[in-house]
Order: sequence, then structure tokens, then C-alpha cells
Amino acid sequence: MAKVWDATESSSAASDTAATVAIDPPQRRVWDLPVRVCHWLLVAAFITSYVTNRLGVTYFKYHVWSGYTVIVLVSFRLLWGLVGTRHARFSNFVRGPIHTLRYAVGWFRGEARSYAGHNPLGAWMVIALLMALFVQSASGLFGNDEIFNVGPLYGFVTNETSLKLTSLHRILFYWLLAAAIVHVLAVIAHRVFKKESLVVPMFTGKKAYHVVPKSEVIDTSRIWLAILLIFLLGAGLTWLVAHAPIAQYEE
Amino acid sequence: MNDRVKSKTGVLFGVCAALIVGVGLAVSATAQTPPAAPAAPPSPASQAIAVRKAIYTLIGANFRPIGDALKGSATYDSAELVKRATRVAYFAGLAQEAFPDVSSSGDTKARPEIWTNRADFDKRLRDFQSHAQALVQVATNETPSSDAFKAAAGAVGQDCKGCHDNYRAK
Repeated sequence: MAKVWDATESSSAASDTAATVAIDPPQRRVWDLPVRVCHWLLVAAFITSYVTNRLGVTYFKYHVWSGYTVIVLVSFRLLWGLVGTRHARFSNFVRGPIHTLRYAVGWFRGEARSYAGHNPLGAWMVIALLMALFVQSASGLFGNDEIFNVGPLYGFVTNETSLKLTSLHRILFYWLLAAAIVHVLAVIAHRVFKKESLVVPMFTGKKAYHVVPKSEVIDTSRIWLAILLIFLLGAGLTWLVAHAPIAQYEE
Repeated sequence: MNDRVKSKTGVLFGVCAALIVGVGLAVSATAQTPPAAPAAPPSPASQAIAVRKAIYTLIGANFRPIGDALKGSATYDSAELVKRATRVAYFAGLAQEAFPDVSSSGDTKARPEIWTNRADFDKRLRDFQSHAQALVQVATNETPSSDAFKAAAGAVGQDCKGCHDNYRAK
């Protein structure tokens, strides 16, 4: 296997060219704009959801809004995983258990190769986080805090069902938090041990040329398709919320 | 296997895993309550728990209109809100006697921390009652859109949430 070129190694008497290459290797685009915007907006929405909950009962409507943001973004990302650009598609980066295990073992031995898109372990974290965020935001829509706030779709279910979904919503948060922490630690570990920054590419969309074969570069972000999908999802959610039955309380 | 087959296997595995996780979550969410036990003479614990649940049901039913007025999703006249707040304050007083030691085990969402952190818990219940009493005064003199009403009703709501977040099982 070809040695992965190490950006931090520089020849002792570095010539100008070597120094330039060591600092700034040519970049190739792998992450489209929708994936990147989605990622960072989700981070913001997740944090906002937590903060608006901690702030108290009178901030509930902001919690609902950040929840709407989460479910629209997650739903978009799930669809984008089917129709988006190359490295956004699940079929591109999700790998079976054996392949993933082999990658994980190789990682600890320092042998694992670099991937243009998500690596096999990261791939499963993507799936786990998306699924968990979807269940979290969906269950919240039906919630009842038993104080004076109910979710926008509360009218569709019985109070008993709503309470079970609210309980799920409360408990699942801790699992989501744990997964997010593991995710952040893994990204840090990737930078420290594999000497690859994953955060910068998730902003710029580009990775260094030596981890991206020419055939895996993307040339378009398909932004118009992304905008259309977001619009349709937002419209669908709006329709659903507008048509929710008015909550009937058993008194 | 080439990469294409590997990816398809991966996707198939992923979909199955997601389905299993999704079903698992749904089952665990709906399977929380144990089936009703056959009729037996009520124990002191189960009686205390039933009384406690009744008190909180009444608190909730009477606080809801106040919450609706606070959010502006319903309008009530001053007399109605005063009546509701008075009831909440009265039940808040009953709640202070609703957590005897015997009621710590059984079909209850009350967490053991109530009895290990009794001083803090009791203080929260007293705060709840005094905030509810303050709300009665405010509801007598102010409209729901006023800052004073919002602050007073919000304070009671925060008491509910603070206790639930810390002392009620999720």
C-alpha cells in the first residue's frame, strides 16, 4: 500500500517548494454545499434545542422552532443520501460490518487508508446520528410537558401515547449527547493520530489531493435540487402542523 | 467482492440495522407501563401514590388554562384565572404531604432522590406554593398580557419544570 503522505513531516533543509507543498497541498472538492450547510445547521439546531429547553417553560416556542429545523434538515439529509452528489450518498460510504471492523482494527494499527468521503466508522456514526435526530425531533412533535406546553402534532395522538413519546424524547437526548461526544472525540482523534483534519473539509468542502482520486472529485453541488427538497419538506411540515386537530383535553 | 457489491451489502445491512433499531425504540417506548395487576387489597404505598397522582392531575388541569392565557392561545376573564390560581395554590399545599416515605416504591415516577435530598425537595414544594399564592394576587389585579402576570405564571411553570427535571423519572 502506498505510504500516506504526511503533511507534518518536512524535510530538514526544506526548500521553498517542499515547504509550500507541506503547508498547502492542492485541494479537491468532495463535500457539496448542502451537506456542509446541513451539518453545521444541525449542530446549531441541536445546541439551540438543548438551550431553549434549559431556559424554561416560557421558551418552549423557540424549542419547537429549533425542533422543526432539525426534522427538516434530517429529512433532507436522508433524501440527499439517495439523490445527492457522490460522497453524500449512503451507497458511497456505508460499508458492511466486516469491512468496517477491518477498518477499525487497521486504524489502531496505524494502517488504515484515507477516504475521500466518510470512512467506514464515520459512516455508521452518520447513520446513527441521523436516525437518532429523526426519532428525537419526530417524537417531540407529539410531546406533552404536563405543565402547559404540547407539541404541534399532539392532537393526532392520545394523551397516553403522547406521554410515552415524551418520555422517549427525554431519554433519547442522553443517547444523542453521548453519540455526539463520541463523534467529536473521534474527529479529534482523527486529527491527532491520523493527522487528517476532518473539520476544515466540512467547512471548505475540499480534501487534500492525495486522499481524493480524480475520479472522486465532485464538480457541482446540485444546489437547486437541494433548495427544492428543503422547500417541499418545509411545506409538508407546515401542512401537517396546520392540519393537526386541536388538542382535546380530558378534564 | 468489488466495491460496488460491498456498498450494496453495506446499504442492505444498514437498512436492516436501522429497521431493527427503529422497531426496538418503538417497542421500548410503548412497552414502558407494566400490565395491570389483578385486584388486591390496596397497600398503604399504593394508596399514597394514588392520592399523589390525583393531586397532580388536579394541579395540571387547573394550571392549563393559566398556561393558555399566558401563551395567548385562549382568553379568560380575571375571575376565572383567580379561581384557577387559587386552586393550584391549595393543591400545592396538599402536595407537600403527598410524599410520605412509604410512597417511595410502587407504580410511581417519583425518584428516590426525593427522599435522599428531602430538604431541597421540600423547599421546592414550598416555593411552588408561595409562587402560586403570589399568582393569585397578580391574577386579581393584572391582565394576562401584563408583564407581572407573565412573570408570576412563568415562575410557577418553572417550579413545575424544575422539580420534574430533577425528581421525576424521565
